[in-house]
Amino acid sequence: MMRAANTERTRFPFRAYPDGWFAVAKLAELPVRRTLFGRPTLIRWHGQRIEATDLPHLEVRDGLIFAWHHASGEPPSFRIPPVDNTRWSKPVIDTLEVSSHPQEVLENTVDTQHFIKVHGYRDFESLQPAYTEGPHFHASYRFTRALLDHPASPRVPIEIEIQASGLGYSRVEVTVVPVGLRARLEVMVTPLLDERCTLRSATRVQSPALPGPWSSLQWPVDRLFDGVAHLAALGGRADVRDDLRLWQHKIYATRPVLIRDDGPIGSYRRWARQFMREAA
Amino acid sequence: MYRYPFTPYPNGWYRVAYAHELSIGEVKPIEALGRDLVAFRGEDGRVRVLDAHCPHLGAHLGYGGNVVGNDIACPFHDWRFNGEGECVDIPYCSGRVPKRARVDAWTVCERNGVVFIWWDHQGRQPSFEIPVVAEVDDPKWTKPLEFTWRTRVHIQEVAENALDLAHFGKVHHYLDFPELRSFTTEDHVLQVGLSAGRRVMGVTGRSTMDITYHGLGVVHAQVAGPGIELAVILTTTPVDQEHCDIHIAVMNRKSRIPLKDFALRRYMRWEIGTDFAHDIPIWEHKQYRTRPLLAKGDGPIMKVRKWAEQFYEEAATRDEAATDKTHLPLVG
Repeated sequence: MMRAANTERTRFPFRAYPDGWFAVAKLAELPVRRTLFGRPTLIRWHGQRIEATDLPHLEVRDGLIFAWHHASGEPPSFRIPPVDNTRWSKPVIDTLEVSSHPQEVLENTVDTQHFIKVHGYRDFESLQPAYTEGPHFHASYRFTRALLDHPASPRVPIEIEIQASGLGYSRVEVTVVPVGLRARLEVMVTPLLDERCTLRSATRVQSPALPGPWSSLQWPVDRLFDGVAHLAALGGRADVRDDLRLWQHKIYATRPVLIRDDGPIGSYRRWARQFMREAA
Repeated sequence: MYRYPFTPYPNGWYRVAYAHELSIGEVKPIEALGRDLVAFRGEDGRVRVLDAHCPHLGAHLGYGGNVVGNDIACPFHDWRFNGEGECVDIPYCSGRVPKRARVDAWTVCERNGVVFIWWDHQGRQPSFEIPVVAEVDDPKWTKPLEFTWRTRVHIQEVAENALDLAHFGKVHHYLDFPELRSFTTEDHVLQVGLSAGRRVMGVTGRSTMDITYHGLGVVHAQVAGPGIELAVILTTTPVDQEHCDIHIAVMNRKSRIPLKDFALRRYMRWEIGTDFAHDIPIWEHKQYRTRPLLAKGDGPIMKVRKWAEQFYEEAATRDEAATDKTHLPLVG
């Protein structure tokens, strides 16, 4: 499609490949050739180890390979905190390619007011002011949202807790307050060529631990909650669909007019700069 | 690569939409003059045109934006903008709306069933008006038949084309060279009368064309031939540095035989479509000659360039899009 002349520059005024940990491949895909951080890369088994050209620091989480990228080749300065998924359902994995940048994708989750207009959430409340801890960013809110992706669906209050570790990984925990159902989304964004990204998400729900006399039912209950995870993933997909409609046509506002009620976008952008410092 | 020694955006009125494409409450994204724009019609029936990207976080108001009263609401965070481009309401804002929250608004004119915007390099008010075409909404005339092309051409080439008498024979297969009956220029208006031999629906005869330019973007024409009378509105809008959108709306005087109108419209759909298609490959690959080698019989091409210079005046001062180009005069 043709782009108007005033937007015919690089969309994003910062580095295409930020520093940090990024999901680069599934363990099951190996060996795989892929263009990563602007270079052709081969990821393969080397004896018992996984090896990738030019990427010495790799980590495997839940069958996904994460690679550390740094513009001046420095070793990892942080780790993605481990997550205990023992009482949680099997993950529902979604992968898609979007025209965006990790900074823009993650900014969306801290842009509290867009949940209202774009996703139809209501009754926003900040549970705790956003705060940063080095490479980690935390924020939590409360909204009400439709339980299912249908206009007649009942609305429920939900609490959202976000923890991002770099621009490539964030964990979003959603609690449906009245029933105490908890869902966990791990969102992985990996920059590709031409200002495109892979967006991967793993959705799980927490399965209740049954007390002693009922423990024989634990297995069927867990499988039931595997099914609930699929329902939770549907909600996530509806939200992504709404976002994509907007991302197709928006530009990245370098000097946005922000107001106090906009949520932590300003502090998020300041925090994100640490991953995109120009190499000396 | 940019092929022309002058700005892609001369001053003037440019079509952005037909009026019927914007009913009340409707929003339309527009690409014109190297910018992303949005047009919408408020509840009072007036069309407004604004720069498309919200000053807040950059969303395009034309994709998913909705009309609230006479304002447009951004699809991203629901910021409301009025026709002057000012943000008048932020639903979740507990304080005052910041003054910086505004987009550029365009001067709009809705006439003859077309919505136009005014472009001036120095941001001055319109220096002329587009006259009413009497045939529009006249019950004796048909509703317009519309044609659209997006081509890689400069608006100057489109304007020169109708005065380039010699190309009608080679490119459009006219029976002879059109005869120049009249040619006048006055301020922003250029009028030219042509008569030419053509074969129309199997009938050979002479037809006359009276063509009036109102700047480079708006052309009105009357065509009269054997058993046929047409009123034409041709509008050209530069989309970006390389491309123009060309729109033609053709009305014909209703005949007393309904079947004849039907046949004529069918014929025009084919004829205008193919006739125009002959110009396009030439435009897309040609060079613009600042000092063309002209022969007798070429038509008043240099007079057109002289007249058109007024729309390029001081173009270099504000148009950053063309700052790297040398600004040669149209007439070498």
